[in-house]
Amino acid sequence: MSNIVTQIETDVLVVGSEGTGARAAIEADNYGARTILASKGIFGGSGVTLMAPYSCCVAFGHEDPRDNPREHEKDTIMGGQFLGNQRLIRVYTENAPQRMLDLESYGARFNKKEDGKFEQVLMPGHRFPRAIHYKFATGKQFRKGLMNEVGRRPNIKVYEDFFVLDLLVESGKISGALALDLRTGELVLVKTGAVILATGGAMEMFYPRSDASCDLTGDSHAMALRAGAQLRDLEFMQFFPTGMVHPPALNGVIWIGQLRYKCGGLLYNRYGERFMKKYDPVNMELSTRDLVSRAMATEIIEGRGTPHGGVWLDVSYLGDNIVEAYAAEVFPNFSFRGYNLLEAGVDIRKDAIEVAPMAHFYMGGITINEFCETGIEGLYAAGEVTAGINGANRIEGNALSEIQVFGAIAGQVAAQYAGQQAKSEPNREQVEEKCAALLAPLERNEGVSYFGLRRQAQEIMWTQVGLVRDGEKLEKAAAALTSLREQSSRICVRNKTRECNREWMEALETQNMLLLAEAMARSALYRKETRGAHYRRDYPEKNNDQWLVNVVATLEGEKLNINQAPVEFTYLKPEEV
Amino acid sequence: MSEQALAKVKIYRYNPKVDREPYYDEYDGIPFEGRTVLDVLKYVYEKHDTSLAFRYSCRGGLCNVCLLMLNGKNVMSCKKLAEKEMIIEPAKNKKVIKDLMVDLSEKVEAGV
Ligand SMILES: Cc1cc2nc3c(=O)[nH]c(=O)nc-3n(C[C@H](O)[C@H](O)[C@H](O)COP(=O)(O)OP(=O)(O)OC[C@H]3O[C@@H](n4cnc5c(N)ncnc54)[C@H](O)[C@@H]3O)c2cc1C
Ligand code: FES
Repeated sequence: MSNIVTQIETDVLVVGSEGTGARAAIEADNYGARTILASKGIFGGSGVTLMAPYSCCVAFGHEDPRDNPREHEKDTIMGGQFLGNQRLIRVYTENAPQRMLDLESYGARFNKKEDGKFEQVLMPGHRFPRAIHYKFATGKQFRKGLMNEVGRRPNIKVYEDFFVLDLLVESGKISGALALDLRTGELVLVKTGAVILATGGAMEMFYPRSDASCDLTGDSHAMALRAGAQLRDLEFMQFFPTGMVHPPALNGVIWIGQLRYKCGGLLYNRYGERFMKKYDPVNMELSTRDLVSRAMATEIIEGRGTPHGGVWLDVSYLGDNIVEAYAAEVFPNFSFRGYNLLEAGVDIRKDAIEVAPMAHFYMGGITINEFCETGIEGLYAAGEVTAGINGANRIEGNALSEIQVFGAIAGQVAAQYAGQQAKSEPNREQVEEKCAALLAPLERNEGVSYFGLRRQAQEIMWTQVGLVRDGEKLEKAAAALTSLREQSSRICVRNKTRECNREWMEALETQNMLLLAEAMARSALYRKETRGAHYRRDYPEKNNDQWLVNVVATLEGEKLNINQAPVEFTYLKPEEV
Repeated sequence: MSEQALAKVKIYRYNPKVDREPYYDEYDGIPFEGRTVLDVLKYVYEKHDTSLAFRYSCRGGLCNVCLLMLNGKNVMSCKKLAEKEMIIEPAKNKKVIKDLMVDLSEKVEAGV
């Protein structure tokens, strides 16, 4: 009997329903395509777009008329330390203003000045005030505008709890995708001419040291690799320096970080040493995000961390009234977004808190061109799941605008492609073979549990592939991850119920995560220099002679191949600045 | 904080596909101090029963999908601190898909 119970047909399948995906679906609909907008979780309640609090950088030039897309382009190229794809960056900065106006027309709000122009704020890495925002909840406005607009379009079908698992490719062309309907536990065959991958980052590889949503397990990265697409810049993961690690209730809370840079917070290791003096004796705790994160990670990984794997952040040396006055200003009653420090047993007037860097944004991802094409016909990708805009490091506020620009392009191009093509029929044998693999963990009666594999991988990623790297550790990490990946083909899921089977879902996620984690470790091993978010203790300098290249990853059978591709300096050369 | 304090938890279970009616599972000795209700569910899921169905995403009080009922009141489980005695049930007025997983297509705003 066939393992496929349900078949559906569409022109465009968008995988991921948030900032990128919803925008893509709207544009595909503008071009007349029947569109499915799929989310592993809930539309408007998954991914990280809605979590983004503040900055969305766009060169409107409303605060400073000297600003324009070319200036934004330059800052983005330099912020990415010349590894970004300059053609993509130009498309991005030129289209961003119009895309934000689209979003406004869908119903998103932004803070405006009295003359009706956008309030624009200067962010680090930008030379002009460029960030538009809505209070401290910009991402929620994205959600509101996009949900409104999708709701107005009956030809966009929203599929929730719909976990897309694999792509079907027939002679180099997309013919469909396989998904797990989490509610019923049925495998679904989606026959489609075009697929847009819009699933965001992969910060779950570092959990619990992640401030992002649990949905981001690298599924699309792995699907793209298996389908024959290329990934790049995987060695670059951006960390947010100070998130809480204890108590568990407050794990990942990052707003507390402002105690460091705004309220004179001091950082100590377990021996009570203000360790920043070893890393940046001049600026100490006020050093740059990169350096502070790296210093903290070094202390933790080398065994000088706190009981729960952080370092101490302390403002208790200040008078209680100073701390209270600061708190009253930014988190009244020691409470923020419903998290109350005092109720959770944390009194920052008396005690230091335990903090560690948190994985926050993935610069690396699927290789695309200006049309969001991946090299496989009918397969497109956009948003954080791709690489190219941010190079070796993302400057603040560039993600929210990027996802609108490329979401729209992917939607248009995919719809036009699907409209012109005769659909190719998915190959039955391929479908059955893939389904059997997806069902295997459920049908197996003995084998390994995914928990251990996932935890081990996350621990390896944090300690050896995180902020502080060296060749020896990366070799070991890559080998260990290969072995975990091999073991993951023997995962057995204890819960045999089909409906709402979280264990099955997480087991399949773990397989994806392990493939991407290994690709990341091997990419980091390959790049023998320090640049942007990639720090090699054994190669502590930036090396423009050899490493102005992108590291690229592909999959051949079960083997990951890591190579390099040249960077084209289409508009700006490193020697020009 | 004493390390020993442990909670007693009663969790609503129901799979409309197979169960004639809902029932409750009870667990004793669950660590709860400094943890959220969601932390407790993850603990029960991992240590006791991987068939427990529940939702979460952002873990940061923003997405609202971890909504459920604790001791009779709707709360966001990722920000509500766990208590010593807890009855955990699906969110009020929502159709149960399985256990604590409900149909969220009618959006509700967070109460807590
Ligand atoms: C805490 C935080 C704060 C941030 N703040 C800012 C900021 O102020 N400014 C800024 O510019 N950027 C910020 N960023 C980054 C920015 O928010 C993201 O880069 C951007 O929103 C990503 O959008 P996306 O649509 O590509 O992915 P996401 O919003 O993450 O959406 C991913 C979607 O894919 C779905 N999905 C995943 N896997 C599957 C699968 N297998 N099948 C089906 N669906 C799947 C998910 O359910 C979700 O719907 C922040 C990030 C974080 C974590
Ligand atoms: S998991 Fe998002 S609000 Fe609780």
